[in-house]
Amino acid sequence: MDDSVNLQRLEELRKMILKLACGDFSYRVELNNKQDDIASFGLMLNLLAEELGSFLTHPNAFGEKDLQKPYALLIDNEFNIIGANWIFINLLKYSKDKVINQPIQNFIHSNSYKNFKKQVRGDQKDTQYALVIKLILIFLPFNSAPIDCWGYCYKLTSFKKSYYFIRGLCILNHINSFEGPISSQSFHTQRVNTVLQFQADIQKIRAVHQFILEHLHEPLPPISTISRLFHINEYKLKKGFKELYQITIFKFHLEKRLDQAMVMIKNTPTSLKVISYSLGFKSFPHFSRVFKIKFGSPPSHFRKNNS
Amino acid sequence: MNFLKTTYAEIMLKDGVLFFTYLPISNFDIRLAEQIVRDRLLIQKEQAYPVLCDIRNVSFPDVKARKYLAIEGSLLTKAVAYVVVPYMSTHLTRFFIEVNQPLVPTKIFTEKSEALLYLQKF
Repeated sequence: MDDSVNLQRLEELRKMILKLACGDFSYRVELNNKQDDIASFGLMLNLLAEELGSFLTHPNAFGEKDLQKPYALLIDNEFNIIGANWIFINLLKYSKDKVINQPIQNFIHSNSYKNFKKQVRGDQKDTQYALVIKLILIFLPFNSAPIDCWGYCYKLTSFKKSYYFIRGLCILNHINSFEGPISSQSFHTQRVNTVLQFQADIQKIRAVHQFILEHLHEPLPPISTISRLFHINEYKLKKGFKELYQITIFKFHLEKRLDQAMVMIKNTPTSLKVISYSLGFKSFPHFSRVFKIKFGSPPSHFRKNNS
Repeated sequence: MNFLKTTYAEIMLKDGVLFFTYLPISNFDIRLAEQIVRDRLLIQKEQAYPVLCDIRNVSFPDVKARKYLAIEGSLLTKAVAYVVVPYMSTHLTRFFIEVNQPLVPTKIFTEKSEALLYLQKF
C-alpha cells in the first residue's frame, strides 16, 4: 500500500519537473503532512518554481528593478467583474464604474474569452489540481489597440459560490508570441546583442551583485577594482550588470543603501547623520539630496512622520 | 523594553541575544516581512545583536518576503541562527540561505543550545 502511494507521489514530482521544463511555473506539488525525502523534494521544487517564476516572468530583471505591478481582478461564477485594482482599470482606460459589475466578455477578445471559459470550466472536473491556471488574455481597452497579457487564475470557493481571481502582467511590447513571456522566441529576442553569452559571466555578475549587497555600508570601489576582484573585464561587467539587473552598478549600490536608510529612518531613533555615514555616504547633504530624489521628500520628513 | 509579543512572534532581548520565536503564520508575505523588521528594530534600539530565530512553528515566506528578509532583514543583525524541526524546515531554510543569501552569517540548528553556542562568537 505504502509503496503504491509513494510511487504516486514520485510520479507527482516527475510531473512537476516536466511542468517546469515546459515553463509552467504556476504548477505546485500537492503537499501533505509527511516528513520524508519525497515531501522535501516536493517542497523544494515548489520553491524552485517560485524563484524561476519570479525571474523568468520579468526577463533579465532578477526581481530588482522596474518591475511592472500586476493587474488583478475578481470575477464571479457568471464571469462578471466584481472587483479590480487600479492597474486593471488604468489598463482598460474606462472609468471604474464602467468596469465593475460588467461581464468580462466586454473587455476581452472573443477568442480569449472562449479560451478562458474553457480552461476554468475544464479544470473543475479535476478539483485536485484546479488551484491555479495559467492564461493568456487579450484585453480590449477603450479606444486603443488590444493588449496581450498573461495571468494566473486562482479559483476560490466560498459558501458554495465560485470566484476567479486573476492576476498577471502585460506581455512586453517586443514579445509577439502568444506562448507567453517565457517563450523561446522571447529569449531569442533578449539575447541578441547581449554581452552575457556565457553562464560563467552571469555567475560572476551575480557574485558582484551579492558583493555589493554585503558591502552596502562602504563606498563603492571603482569598477576597475571590482572587475579585477571577480576576474571579469570592465566593459562586460558594466554592460552585463545592466543587462541582468536592469540597473547600473552605481545606481544599484545607491538605491539599496537608500532603501536601507529608509528602513532605519522609519524604525529607529538613530540620527540621520549617523544613518547616512553608516551606509557609506560621504556627507549628509549628499545623502539628503539623493534621498530626496528617490523618495520625493528629504529624510527628515519621514522621521517627523514617524515620530 | 526587552520583550514584545505580536500576532506573529514573541521577541525577547536577553543576555545580548535577540530571541525571535515565531507563532504559527498562515500567510508569510512581504507585508509581514516588513512588519518583522520594523518590530525587531524597535526592540533593538539601534544596537546590532546576534539573533536566534525559532521557526519551528512557521510556514515558509513567499519569494518577495524571502528577498526582503535576506537584505533588509539583515539590518542591525550580527548573525542569525535558525532553530528548525529536524526534517522539512531544515531543507527549506537551507534553500533560503543558499538561494536568497542573507547578508550576515546564518546557520541552521535543530537544538537551541547549539544555536546559542554558535551565536556566542558574535
